[in-house]
Amino acid sequence: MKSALLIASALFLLVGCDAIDAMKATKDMKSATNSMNAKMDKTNKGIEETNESVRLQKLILSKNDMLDDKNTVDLEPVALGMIAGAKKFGETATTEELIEYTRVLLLKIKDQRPDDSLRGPDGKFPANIAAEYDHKKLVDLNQIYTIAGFCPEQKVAQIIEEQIYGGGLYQRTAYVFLMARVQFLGTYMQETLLAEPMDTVKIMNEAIVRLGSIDAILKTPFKNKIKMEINTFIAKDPIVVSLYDETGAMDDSWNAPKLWKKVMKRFDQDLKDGNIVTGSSVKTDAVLNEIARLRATVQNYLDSWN
Amino acid sequence: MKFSSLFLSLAFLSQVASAGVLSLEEGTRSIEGVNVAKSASIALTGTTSAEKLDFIGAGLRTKKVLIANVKVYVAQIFLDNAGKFVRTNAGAVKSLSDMKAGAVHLTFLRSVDAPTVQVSFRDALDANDIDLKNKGIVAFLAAVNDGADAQNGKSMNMSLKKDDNGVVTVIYENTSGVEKTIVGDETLFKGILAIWLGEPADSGLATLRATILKGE
Repeated sequence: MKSALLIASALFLLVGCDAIDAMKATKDMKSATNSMNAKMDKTNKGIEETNESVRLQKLILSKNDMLDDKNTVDLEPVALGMIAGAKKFGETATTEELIEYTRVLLLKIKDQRPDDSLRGPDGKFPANIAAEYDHKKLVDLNQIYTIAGFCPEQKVAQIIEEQIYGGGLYQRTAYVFLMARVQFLGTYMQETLLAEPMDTVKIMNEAIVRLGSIDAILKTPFKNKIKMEINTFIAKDPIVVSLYDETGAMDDSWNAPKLWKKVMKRFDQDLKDGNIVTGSSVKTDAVLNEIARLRATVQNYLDSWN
Repeated sequence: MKFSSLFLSLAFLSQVASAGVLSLEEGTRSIEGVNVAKSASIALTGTTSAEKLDFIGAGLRTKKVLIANVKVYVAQIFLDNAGKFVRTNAGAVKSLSDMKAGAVHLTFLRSVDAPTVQVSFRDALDANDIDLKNKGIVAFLAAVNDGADAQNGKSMNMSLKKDDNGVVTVIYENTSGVEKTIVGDETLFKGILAIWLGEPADSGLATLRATILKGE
């Protein structure tokens, strides 16, 4: 009996020790977990900071690329050299940054002017001075055009949500941003996509996506507020442009109903059977199905204007 | 700068003198450094003598691109019977049925690749409801597309002749001087001239047509 009690006590003690150990271990584990969580939080914060640093770095690099001397010399008719940097900038920047940057550029365009002491006897600025300042203003304006033109669709929707529907701080800037987007995309359509045969599915798809972006802005309930007025060039003519004129007409460059009709005709004129050069019948079928899908999309857009 | 202007002027003058099917009689004024001819004459293969054409009008073709008005080419139009040509938007193309010969002379102020020229002509034909499946039109557009790119400072010519049976012969000469003969019907004659005299495909062509119809 004694020995049994002894064994039981020893067992109890053993179990008790294990339980204490276990409890201790649990406590240790809890503290280790807490410590690990704290470390993970720190790591996450570190990763976030690193990601943000990388993003900001990308933003700076894309801006530098956009403003590189070689890309800002030839701005007309379209600042082609600025496009790559502007595209990256639009992809990387937050909507707040995009609209704030646009605001800053608009202020720069308005305020940059030569010192009055540089005026000639006739009260005008010499041609070279006027050209230099107008060029600076055009560089800033073309940043707005290219960034707004190639800004990802969901960011444009977010800007509309935040600044226009949400009554944001930069609502007026948002209207200018949208005008610049339509004007630039209209030019891009006319000068690249529609200027050449639209003879591949990818070209057709690109045209539908870009014209779709224009179409969406043309149909917004605030469409009559979308305009741009730049009248602070030194020698150059002012730029006064609105989405719809006083008669409700659209400029040819972004006249979506006309442009959709043009695109629809290109299915028969350029794309025909998909212009497939080689490939399996499976691939051919896939291309033909895609063409049918694209044609239906264009038809839907056309119907939406009737 | 002066040297390059002189060089360009000489280049234009030499084109006036060395045109193949189409010959231009030098005029006294110029547009963007391009001499505007007083009249023209065409000599198609198989004809015994050159046919004299009257000056109808000339003007600058610009294109609005974003915020710039880009100068594309200087156009000059000639027809065989200026007296019967109706200088109104509605009447100009209709009056072409009274014409038997004509010519279009385009001098490019910027380089434009051949497919782009072809698409711009096609859009203008389309704007005038010209049947794009018409055999002559198909051949004409193919000639433009397959021809050389339009080079800055060089000219392209379209010389048109309609016979008594309504058969139309067009000699298309690209900016490299290569000629292509296209045969078609009345649609070909009307279609080509409608690009500049008919319903404008864009605002730049509208301005150009207005200038041409004034006969300036």
